[in-house]
Amino acid sequence: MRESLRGLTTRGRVFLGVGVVCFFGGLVVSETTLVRAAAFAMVLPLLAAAFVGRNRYRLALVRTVTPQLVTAGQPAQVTLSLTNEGKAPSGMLLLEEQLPYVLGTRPRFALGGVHQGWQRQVSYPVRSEVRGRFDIGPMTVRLTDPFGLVELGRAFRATVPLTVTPRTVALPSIPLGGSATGSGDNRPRAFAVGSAEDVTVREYRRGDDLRRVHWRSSARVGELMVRREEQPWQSRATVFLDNRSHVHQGLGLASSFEGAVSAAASIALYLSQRGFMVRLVTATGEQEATAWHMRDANTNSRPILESLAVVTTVSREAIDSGWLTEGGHSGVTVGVFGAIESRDGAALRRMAQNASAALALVVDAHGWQTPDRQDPDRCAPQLQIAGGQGWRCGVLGPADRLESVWQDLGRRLQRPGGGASTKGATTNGAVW
Amino acid sequence: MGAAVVTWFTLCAWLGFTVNPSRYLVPTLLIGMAIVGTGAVGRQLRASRGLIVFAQIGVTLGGIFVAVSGSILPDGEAMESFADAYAGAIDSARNYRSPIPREAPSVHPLLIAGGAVSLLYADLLASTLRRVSLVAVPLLVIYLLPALMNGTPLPWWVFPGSAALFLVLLYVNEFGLVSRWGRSISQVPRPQSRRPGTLSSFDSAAIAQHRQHAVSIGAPAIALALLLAVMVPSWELSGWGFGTGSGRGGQEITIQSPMTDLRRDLTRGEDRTLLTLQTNDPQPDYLRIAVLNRFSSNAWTSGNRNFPNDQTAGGQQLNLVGTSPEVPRETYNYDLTATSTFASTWLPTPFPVTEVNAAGVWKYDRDTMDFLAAEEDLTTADLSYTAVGVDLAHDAETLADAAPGGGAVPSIFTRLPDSLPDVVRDLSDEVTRSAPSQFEKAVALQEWFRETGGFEYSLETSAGSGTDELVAFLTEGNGGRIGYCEQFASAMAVMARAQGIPARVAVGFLRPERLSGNTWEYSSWDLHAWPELYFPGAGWVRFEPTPSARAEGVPDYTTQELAEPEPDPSTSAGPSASTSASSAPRADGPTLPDEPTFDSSAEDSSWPLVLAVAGVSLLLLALLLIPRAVRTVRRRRRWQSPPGDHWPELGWAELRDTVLDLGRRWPTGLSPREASNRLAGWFGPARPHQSQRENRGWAGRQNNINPDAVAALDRIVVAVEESRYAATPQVVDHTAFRADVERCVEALRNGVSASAQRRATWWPVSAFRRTRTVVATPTTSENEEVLESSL
Repeated sequence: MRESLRGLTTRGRVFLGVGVVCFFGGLVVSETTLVRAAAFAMVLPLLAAAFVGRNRYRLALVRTVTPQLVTAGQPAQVTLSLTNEGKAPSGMLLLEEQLPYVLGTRPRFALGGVHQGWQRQVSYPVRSEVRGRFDIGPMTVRLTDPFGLVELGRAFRATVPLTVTPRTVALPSIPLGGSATGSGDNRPRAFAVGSAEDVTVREYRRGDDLRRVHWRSSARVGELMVRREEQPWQSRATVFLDNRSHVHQGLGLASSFEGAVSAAASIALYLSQRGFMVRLVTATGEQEATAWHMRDANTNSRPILESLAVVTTVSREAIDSGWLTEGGHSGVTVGVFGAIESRDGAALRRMAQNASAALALVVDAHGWQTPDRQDPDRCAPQLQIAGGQGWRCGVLGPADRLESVWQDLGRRLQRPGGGASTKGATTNGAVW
Repeated sequence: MGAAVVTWFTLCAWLGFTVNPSRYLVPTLLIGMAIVGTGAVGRQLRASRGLIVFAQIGVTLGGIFVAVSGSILPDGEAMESFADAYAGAIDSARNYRSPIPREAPSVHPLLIAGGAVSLLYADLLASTLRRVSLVAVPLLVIYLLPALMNGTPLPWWVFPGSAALFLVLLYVNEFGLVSRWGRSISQVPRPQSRRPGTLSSFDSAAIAQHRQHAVSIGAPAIALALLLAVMVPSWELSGWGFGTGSGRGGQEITIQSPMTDLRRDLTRGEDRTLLTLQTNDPQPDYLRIAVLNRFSSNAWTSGNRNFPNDQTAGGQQLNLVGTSPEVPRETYNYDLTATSTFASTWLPTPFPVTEVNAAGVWKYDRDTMDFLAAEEDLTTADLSYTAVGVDLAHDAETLADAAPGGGAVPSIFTRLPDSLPDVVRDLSDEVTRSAPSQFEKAVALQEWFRETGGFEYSLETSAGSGTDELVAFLTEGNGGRIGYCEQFASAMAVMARAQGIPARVAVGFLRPERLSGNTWEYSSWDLHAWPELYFPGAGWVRFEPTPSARAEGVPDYTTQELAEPEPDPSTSAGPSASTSASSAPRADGPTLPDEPTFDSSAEDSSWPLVLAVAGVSLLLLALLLIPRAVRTVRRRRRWQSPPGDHWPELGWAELRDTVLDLGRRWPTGLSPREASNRLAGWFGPARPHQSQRENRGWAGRQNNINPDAVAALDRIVVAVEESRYAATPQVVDHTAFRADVERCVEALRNGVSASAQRRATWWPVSAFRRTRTVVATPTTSENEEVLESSL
């Protein structure tokens, strides 16, 4: 009752206030007509509040989103399943789903005639043009009386996340990294039997043969370790996304960064489908969630796309190269760069040295700003820097199709003697 | 549309203003339809709001003009009749009490204009501005207007009717908003026939339920309002100590427009018995109801009364004002019984009177000796009362010798308005020129009205007692010198005042009809008015200027030859002569002068009420304090019990009671240690000023807000555990244990809002539970996805 009194609308409050004042005013001048009207105005909101206040409904909501991961521009279906577990609510229930604005208008539902055990399902589509991670919900519930005198607001707490990944394009197949990774298959290969020190170990699992326990490591680690007698041979690939804010231009959907993200997503998806273990690296280092793990090729792309859905620009001057392990191997490395400068050369060189094949896609950041003026030479300095450090480069302008740029990049790779040997060459065309 | 219907219906509240309501209801209905139609067309054409309102104003004004003047073209003639109608209406409204009789210029133009403007306003608010709830404002004005204007009665069905219609209006508006809110999922899923904004988006069950909800709020609200309004006046103000005048000695009472009823009462209706009288008076005659003592240029009014609280008709001895003891007198007893149709707030009494004994509080003014009901709803209907009347045998000689009485009475009895036309004074001088004394002047005036002046008694004349009517009445010629008792009485009183004689007009009954023996009967056709003039030594003396066609006899002292000795008391009074065809009083009992409004009623009768109210309030207060008392006693008994092994359990019970008082749930089914984890999460800071508003829930032992209290709680738990489970529990240090409990209680209290703390103090829930009862509260599942209306 107290809460429902607090829920009086302006109309209800005015009725109550005027009613009380006129009621006692009418008493003082003993004017029955006035007292009667005032009593009516006074009693009405109180009755409405009592009416709404005696509600004992218990509404349960189950919300499902299919699919939870959706590409920008694709719709997802949100299904709400509502059940009333308590008594019938008195009054009309007005439901409003809280949605981020980019997902469209907030769906609203009016619930009338709800009885005990009432159950309904309702669904609505959401669609976003913007990548990102959005929370759908919580649902707010407003309960009103039939005269608009009382309005109680309440909210569910649960939300469901929806990840909108960047738009991707299917890329044409190009040869990558030559024979370095064979056919690109994942296949376990026998360990080259060498000295005991070369042995890699893993934790003991039930069923392991006790004879395989590697006692020296067990002593060091403190728990049982066993020798691994085989090692999966993986085709590994690294997608590097240069997300430093100063190398990109533009804001929002029209920025060059969004183009770069979209390109990185397409490339990662392509590599993943080609059987590579793909990891995403940004200017801040390796993404924890997308580090190389043993995964299926199918599920491999999902964390990368999720990371790319939420990746933002950072304001830092230099590329973090801490992820480049000493003597390690990054596999095929595809870099998506912005307007790189000459001081990034050192980092680029290390990356290229670590990679079995280094492909660079230079996003024409300035061209994104002024899409009408096409100037093929604008990216010459960047191409020179990257090319000089051993990358095979392609330029991605705002009007270019990623597929063709990618195809050209592949052709470049195939050309014998290409790559780092052609230093200092002039640029012509999109692909160098 | 709806707003216009509600407003038009509420206009029925004005039924009491006129005898022919259709003359304003029909035009306002038509004007309302025109206004609504204009608005609807305008909205259909998507005209701007300003344009719609402008057009509606034009339609309203035009409608009023056509309805009032009866002509469509505003030519000169129509304009003239329009202006005349309004002048007449304003005049009537000023001069007549409602309902305005047929004879007077109609007030319908005013009603039509008021109704049309209200309709326009309501339609503007509801349809154009979409502020439906504001329609209440014009409705309230319409509804209150009759009450503000002299308390014209209201048909009983107007309030419930308009309230219900207004609720329907609100409901329809709100339902529209709700159905525009969004998709309805009240139905079994089916392909949506999306018709946005229509009511059909709900299925019939939902609409029925919603409607039923509306009725279950609206109907009790109307019923309660009616009930409250009936109950409230019985409390009356004095019971609550309102009012200004009690004990100060008296109040002034303003009474307006007095005489206008009399004429209406005489012009219509059948003869109805109003009073029966049993008396030992062989020839009872005039019975006074009220006195009009103020003459303004508009009318005779009853002026103000001064009613000290001790001047009630409770059987006290009343003095005859201004009458010297030498005047010979006879006293008679009067037993009067009013019929149920005679509902007057003035008490008819003989005059002069020395004793009146009537039930209820009837107050009198010493100067006028008329009795007025001093209680709400007190009327003479079905009232039986007694009076002791005095028949004074005035002697013409003495009267003639009396000194001019101008200075002996309040000036209100001699005051004439400055605007009194000279013709009245001149006429008065002319008539009384030959009379030497004031008494003889008065007799001359009476003679002139009755005999020599050529006056004619007729009810077929314009009403009023103002100066204009007076001049018309006194002027010879077409329509002049014709009138009825009101004109005669007031004219004589005015002309007497012009001669410096204090004069007033009395209203009452002329004379009764004998039923049998000493039983007499006054009927509505006996209503009459006459002047009373003041002569020092004799007091107020009655005269009878109305011609013999109506009042056959005159007071005998006015017919005495001045030298002659006084003959026997009047034998001239015959049976009522008022059976003339023209005088047909109203059927439903006359309501004489207006009901006065009291600032305060007598406090004598209100004392029991005050005591009762005070007693009930005290009882309620005591009831409200019981839980707190129970809780305090319980706590005290705990700490006063002899120290022993059971102390830890007592402290534990005290903690449980505190938790319950604070509106939390005591964790049941948990061991003391687990329960204490829950408790520690509810602790607030040691000092209340940083009190936490919200429940932090499961802070458990990690709660660092109040480490002292947590430590104290730990000690308590150890003590409880030992007392429960240990073979030989450790002896607790009672002072320290009590301090620990109190610290925990303090911490628990600081963990809730201030209002919850107050509630715990004044309305402790634990007082309603038996001390030993295990509180069986099922643990609720914490389902995130469930929304519960926990009100």
